[in-house]
Amino acid sequence: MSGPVNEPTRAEVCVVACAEAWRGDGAILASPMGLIPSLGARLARLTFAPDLLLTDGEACLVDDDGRLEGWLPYAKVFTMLAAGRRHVMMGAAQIDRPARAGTRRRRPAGASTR
Amino acid sequence: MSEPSARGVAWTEERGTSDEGRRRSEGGMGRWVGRRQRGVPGGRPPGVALTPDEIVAELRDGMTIGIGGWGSRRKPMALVRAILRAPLKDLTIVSYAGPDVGLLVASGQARRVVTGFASLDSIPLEPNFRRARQAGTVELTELDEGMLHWGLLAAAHRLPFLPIRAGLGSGVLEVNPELRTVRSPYSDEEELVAMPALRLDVALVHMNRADARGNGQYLGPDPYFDDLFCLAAARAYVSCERLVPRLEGSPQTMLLNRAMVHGVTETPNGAHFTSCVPDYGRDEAFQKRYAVAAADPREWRRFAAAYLESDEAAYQKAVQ
Repeated sequence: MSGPVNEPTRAEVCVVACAEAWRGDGAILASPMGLIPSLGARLARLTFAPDLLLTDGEACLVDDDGRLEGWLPYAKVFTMLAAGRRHVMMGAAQIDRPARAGTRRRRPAGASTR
Repeated sequence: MSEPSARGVAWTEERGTSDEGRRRSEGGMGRWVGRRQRGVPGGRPPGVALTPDEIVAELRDGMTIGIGGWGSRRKPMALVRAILRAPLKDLTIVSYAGPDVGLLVASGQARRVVTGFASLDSIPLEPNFRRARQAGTVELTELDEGMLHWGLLAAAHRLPFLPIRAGLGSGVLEVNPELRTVRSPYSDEEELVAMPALRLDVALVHMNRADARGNGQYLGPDPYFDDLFCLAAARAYVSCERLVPRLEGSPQTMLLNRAMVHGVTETPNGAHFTSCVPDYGRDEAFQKRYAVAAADPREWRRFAAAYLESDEAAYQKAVQ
């Protein structure tokens, strides 16, 4: 095997970087939007941040194995946020030519991982 | 993205084109009186189900209409389709927006949208809304989704505003220059956004079950904010998958009571193509067809002719 196959992909680097954002958060709701942040949150929970809470993207909290852990409809998500117990990571659903969209626009709504 | 030129305050003052606001101030018993005074000829006693067209006949041009559900989930789509068939215009739509808003924007009936997002969930951006915003043909009051919640709660509680941290330090205050902040009168003196009440003329929501008196039940995982939409509105109308003599099951699922609701209609598959679990999930194939059609004006005309220009029965037959 030559070297390049062992080089991490850019996506893998990004997943690890995303995971690091939740380090030290303790038992709070992690709300990643989009594939890479979602993989990052799950990586964090499975390694150094086992206390993180994750949802199924609908109204339930789920364990590592996908089994139901609790109920969290949107009204309660907002309350968790207001209580300072939610850490969101979002990207942009689209970026305009001056590349400023990601700075102020909202999250890609209803993305599968909320 | 620049806002269309401001037409004044986007929240409550703009509802001046209907008489619903005055009726609201009559309070409690005025509600049924108000209903007998207009709408269905001869009046209709409480406890009798309406048709979607009868409900839409109670709407007026320029009204602020709140629509329940979330994104592409449990939307009162049969009522939205009934609006599409009516000559209503200049509507302000308050919604956690999905295809409800997309359709009303595509039809040109929504003049302004008040929302935190417009999404089809599995398709991140609502395509009709996206096209209209890029063309500048619909006005937008863009809020944080928690601010929308707070605005509905303030209206439901009959408060002029509620303080919230959401919006501070973000573009929300830039794109909504009419938003004000308040300072805590207590020793912390914290500055907070004063989220104004989002008072609605009418709320439209979809339930899994309801009785004809106006008690409503959701059977899926999330009530969304349908109860707040109803309480924030002068008049609230409920469509349901199945009208039942009495609600059954867990009391926690019985979200709406008849004090919040002014009329009920039975619309089987009436949330299609949005999800209405456990009765049915989202029709992803149809939603994709909708999104593809929305991207192209000619395709859209074909889609509208096939699905939207006849009545609900024809729609349901066409999507089987």
